[in-house]
Amino acid sequence: MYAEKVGENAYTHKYTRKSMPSTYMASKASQIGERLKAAREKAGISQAEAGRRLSVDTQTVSRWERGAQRIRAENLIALSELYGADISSFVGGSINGHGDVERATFTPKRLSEPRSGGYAEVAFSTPRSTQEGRVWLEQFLLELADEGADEDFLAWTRRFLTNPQNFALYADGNRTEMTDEQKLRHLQGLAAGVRNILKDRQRKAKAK
Amino acid sequence: MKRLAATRVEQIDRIVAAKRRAHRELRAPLTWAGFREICGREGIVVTLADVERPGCIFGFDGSWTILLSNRGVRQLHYGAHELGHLWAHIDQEPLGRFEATYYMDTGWPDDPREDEADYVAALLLMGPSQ
Repeated sequence: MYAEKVGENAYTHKYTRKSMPSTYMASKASQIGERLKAAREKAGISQAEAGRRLSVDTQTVSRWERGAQRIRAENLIALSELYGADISSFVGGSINGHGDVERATFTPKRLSEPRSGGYAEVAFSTPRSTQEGRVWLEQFLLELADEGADEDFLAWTRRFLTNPQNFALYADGNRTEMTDEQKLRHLQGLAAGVRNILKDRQRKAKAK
Repeated sequence: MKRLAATRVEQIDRIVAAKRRAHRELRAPLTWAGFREICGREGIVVTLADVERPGCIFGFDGSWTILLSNRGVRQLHYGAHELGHLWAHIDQEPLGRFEATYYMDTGWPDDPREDEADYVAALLLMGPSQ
């Protein structure tokens, strides 16, 4: 989705350069909304019908499509099923509105390259779980941006959370892979740690 | 635990001795409250969450967290183990705590760094020998 291989076992995740995280978040919500509307119209479903199927009112669907209200991950998944669209068509790609991805390389300044490369997403065993994980991750990154995370931090977060080494279990001399349910739970736990790191950075910056 | 190289044991003993001088909580067997105090003093955030693995440590640009499972399984041991990684491994690297991402590519179970972190944990939990 975002990853582009630049070397052996190394991936550089590329983000569009924006000056303010809130701008990124607003643009992303608007982009998702436009795509939701396009998918709904293509499926021939009215806003009222979509709202009825998701047990929300028509105004909520309208706000989602205008980017005025952020849509929760579970609703995004439900709409992708209702419209018959792949969820990546809603959350992936550019935020400049023209279908082209503006790319800016995440270049570490005084920071080293990560020991292990990042991946586009966490690998689950089923397409549905992969979608759920993908949506969850994108939503989490949006929330971090909303909470003041800059693009370097967001890029690191993505690389860290998608590292498959996170999801290995070690017991009795054996290495096993987590189940999908375990992975999602573990991912959310790691995210709690990431959030604490962000808060710690902000606290330190404020103290200076 | 595999046998650690003698030189490595000496290095780790020196690291822990220095930490005992810096943190009064290490002049006795480490307690959970002592662990939290030490982490607070070193600017490490302790995160408890419903995670599958008992513990891990990661950081970005000088901000670090030790993430421990909240299922109550040997939390102090794993917390001390992660401190061991920080003191014996991360702090010894050129960029130290300013690594962008720290995820040890452990060649578990043969990676000596896991045994070294366990050794640090044992030293902290047992307290000083005198």
